[in-house]
Amino acid sequence: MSVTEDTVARNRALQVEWYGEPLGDRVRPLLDRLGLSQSGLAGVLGLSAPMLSQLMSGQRAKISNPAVLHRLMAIEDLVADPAFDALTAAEIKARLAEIGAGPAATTSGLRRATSERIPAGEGPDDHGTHAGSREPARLVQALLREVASAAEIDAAADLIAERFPDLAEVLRVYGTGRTSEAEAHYARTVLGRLLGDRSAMP
Amino acid sequence: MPVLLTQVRKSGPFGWVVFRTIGAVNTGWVIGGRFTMLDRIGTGGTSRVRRAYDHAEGRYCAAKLVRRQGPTSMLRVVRERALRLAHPHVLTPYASCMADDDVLLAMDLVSGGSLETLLGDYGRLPPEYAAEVLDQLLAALSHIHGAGVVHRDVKPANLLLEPSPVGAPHTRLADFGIALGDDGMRFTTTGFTVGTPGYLAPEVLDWNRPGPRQDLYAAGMVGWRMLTGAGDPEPRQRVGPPPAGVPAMLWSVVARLCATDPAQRPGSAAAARRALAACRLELRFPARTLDGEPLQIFDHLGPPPR
Repeated sequence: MSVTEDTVARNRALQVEWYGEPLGDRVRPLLDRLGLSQSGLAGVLGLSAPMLSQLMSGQRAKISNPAVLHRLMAIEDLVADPAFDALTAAEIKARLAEIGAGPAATTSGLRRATSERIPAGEGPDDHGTHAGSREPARLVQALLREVASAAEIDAAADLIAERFPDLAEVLRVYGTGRTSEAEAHYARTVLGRLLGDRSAMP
Repeated sequence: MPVLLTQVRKSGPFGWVVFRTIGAVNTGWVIGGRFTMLDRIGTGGTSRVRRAYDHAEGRYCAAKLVRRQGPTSMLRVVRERALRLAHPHVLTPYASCMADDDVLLAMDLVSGGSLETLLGDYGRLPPEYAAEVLDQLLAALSHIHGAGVVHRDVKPANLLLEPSPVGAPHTRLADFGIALGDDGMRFTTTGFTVGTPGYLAPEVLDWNRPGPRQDLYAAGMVGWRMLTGAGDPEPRQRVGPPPAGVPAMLWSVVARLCATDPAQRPGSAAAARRALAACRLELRFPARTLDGEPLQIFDHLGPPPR
């Protein structure tokens, strides 16, 4: 998708107007300083490699995604920092990873991923109920459901129900019940005891 | 020895997860006497998807190596599913063959990147553009749900695009790696719940049975991202008010798809498409971004290695 020389000249002029200098001139020094390839830098910026190439060569004028411009400025700040030269390659890599924002990966370890994103008690839908019980309750659920099906857990609970009713309840609540019940159970048993404030729990 | 498969055992949170890495590949790596394996495509260095040359069909394809679950009957299952799911907006294997402990799935090579790539390049998309992409996604979902399959991992990274210099979107819903059929067969059984957190419907977070409406929720979140330009949604993401310039009708379609209660979502992907059509948005080409720049879908793969 090449464009005419006129268009490139016009785009470069627009880039000077918008970004202070043509994007190629602004971006190229970063590659040297960071020891990154163009496609490596594109990955950190959250742009595709062809898009970065088009912007740097003036085939396109504008960075349409504002998040990309923010990341570009964050990288420039990093490089301009007097402390930058003292950073090791691993430290630079870590800082770039912080700046870059990769898309969420598919996960089967969902419980962990979820609780990392929304720490217990901070979720927007938390309604203040069972704060602190969400993550552990779900981990117990995940563990049980990893090793046995709902039917197996139910059968196991039946086996022990007579002699160990509390244990059977744990299996049923975490193994086959709803998450809200598990959280309530966790809050009632563990947190209630830890906090010494069982009356506050439902 | 043309190929070295090494097994690395790595501890996961609830057990052992086995990863395979390809240790050494020389250029003459041929699988099944038919597929010459070439460069890695797809995201990240760990992707198991490669460009390959299919000597039987005389064309390049995307070859994905999937760990074999059971006996050879898997090949039959793959073939049957692929036939049932064939649709212009669905990417399924057109051929498969055994490769040691793996199954090779051959698919059309879609080289325009994913919707995730497009959102990275352009940020939020014009409403009529987002509506078109959403419609194509819903068409794909309508078809696979009709075939009794729930995708379970609908997200921008799994919506692949054909390249287009005028930005005409042609999306293909890909990666049925964790799809669940009516028969209950899963391709991946590593965890109880699979998917990507922000796109998982609340009822799935609460451990209910998977169903077609969880795909509608995820499709709604894809629409939400296209219209807001925001990053990945949080679990139980609130949709919020429509961004400036987004028609109220379109926003309400997206908001209904994202309803917390599955009963409040459209009854089917087809019903959602009808609601979308009622918005009467028209996409013109060449497509332009909200700030007036040409919206092009680049070829992200380039010429094949020789």
